Amino acid sequence: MNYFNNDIRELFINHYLIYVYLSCFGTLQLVSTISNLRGIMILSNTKANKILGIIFLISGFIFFFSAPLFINSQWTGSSFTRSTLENFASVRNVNDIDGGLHGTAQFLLFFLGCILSFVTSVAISGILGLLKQKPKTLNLNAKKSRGIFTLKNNNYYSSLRLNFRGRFLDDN
Amino acid sequence: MIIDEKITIFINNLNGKNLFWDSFFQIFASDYLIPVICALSIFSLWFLALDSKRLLLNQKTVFYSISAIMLTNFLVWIVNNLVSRTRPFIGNSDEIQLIFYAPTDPSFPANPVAIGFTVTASIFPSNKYLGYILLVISIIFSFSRIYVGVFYFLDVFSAAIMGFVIALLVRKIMRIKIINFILMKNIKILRLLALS
Repeated sequence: MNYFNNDIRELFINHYLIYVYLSCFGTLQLVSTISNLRGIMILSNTKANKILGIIFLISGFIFFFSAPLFINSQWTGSSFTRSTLENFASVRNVNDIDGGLHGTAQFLLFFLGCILSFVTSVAISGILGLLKQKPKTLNLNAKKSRGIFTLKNNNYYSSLRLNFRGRFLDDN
Repeated sequence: MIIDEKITIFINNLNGKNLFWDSFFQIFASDYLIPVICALSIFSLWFLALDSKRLLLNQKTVFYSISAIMLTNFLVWIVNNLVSRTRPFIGNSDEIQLIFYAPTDPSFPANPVAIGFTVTASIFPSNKYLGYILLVISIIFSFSRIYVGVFYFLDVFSAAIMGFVIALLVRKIMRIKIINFILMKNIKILRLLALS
């Protein structure tokens, strides 16, 4: 696989975004399973969703640190090649003035990754929920829960409706 | 030669003997591993909603952590400019073998290590399990930064203490009534969006 962009910073940005997106998505699935937030879970089976979360979480790390082994770029100076097993661990250590990412860029990209992973989780779980069954009507138990806890029984869209309605019923 | 330099040289001279450990510590010392793990830990705490009491504690911890990180960065920047200690691969260039990129900013205190310990100390009171994991990871991170040759032992040690102290300080400050009030208002707004 050839990477046609030889600008190492752009390569870092692309890879870092994929890395944090995959890791955030995996973390979100893992934590939503532990907290039983079905509104953002992809799979209805908790065990399967937990495994899915772990796979995504680990795959993000593996992708970022092993990508130099499979992608041709200027990892080691001027030569346009893949890294080797001997130097793959060091090619990701690039100073921010030489093409690496500085702290602010890392923070912004991580934040973007968080938002993207949340939107993806909400969208996929909402679509899968609609395909499986009819949208749930408001029930007594659902009315009692507030905030993030509404995601235990509803998709994100229904949770938003519930929370905005609940705001005018009682606001403590 | 002071003891700090002796410890640094001893740890650093372990490198170059085994490719596996060199690669392991190069990855651990990376700017893209431990900072991401710390950020993911904070992110996970936000959605860890086992019950309403613990959720509130976790989400307050997220605010504490972010505030503490900002304060740590600021204080490290001030100390960096006041002390301006050179990196070990420059100050002890004959004994230190660098297997990392050559940073250009001052060495004392170690900024990434301070951030790691700030996050650890911020998270510890609300989630001991995650706190212990982060503590172990932060210690390995600190060791790896000396191993690859970019920090002295004292830089790392002082950064760890600094991180802990700032995290505790921020936790105290955030409990001041007016700040806590603003924090709760933010959490209530996010509750409308089903995020808290």
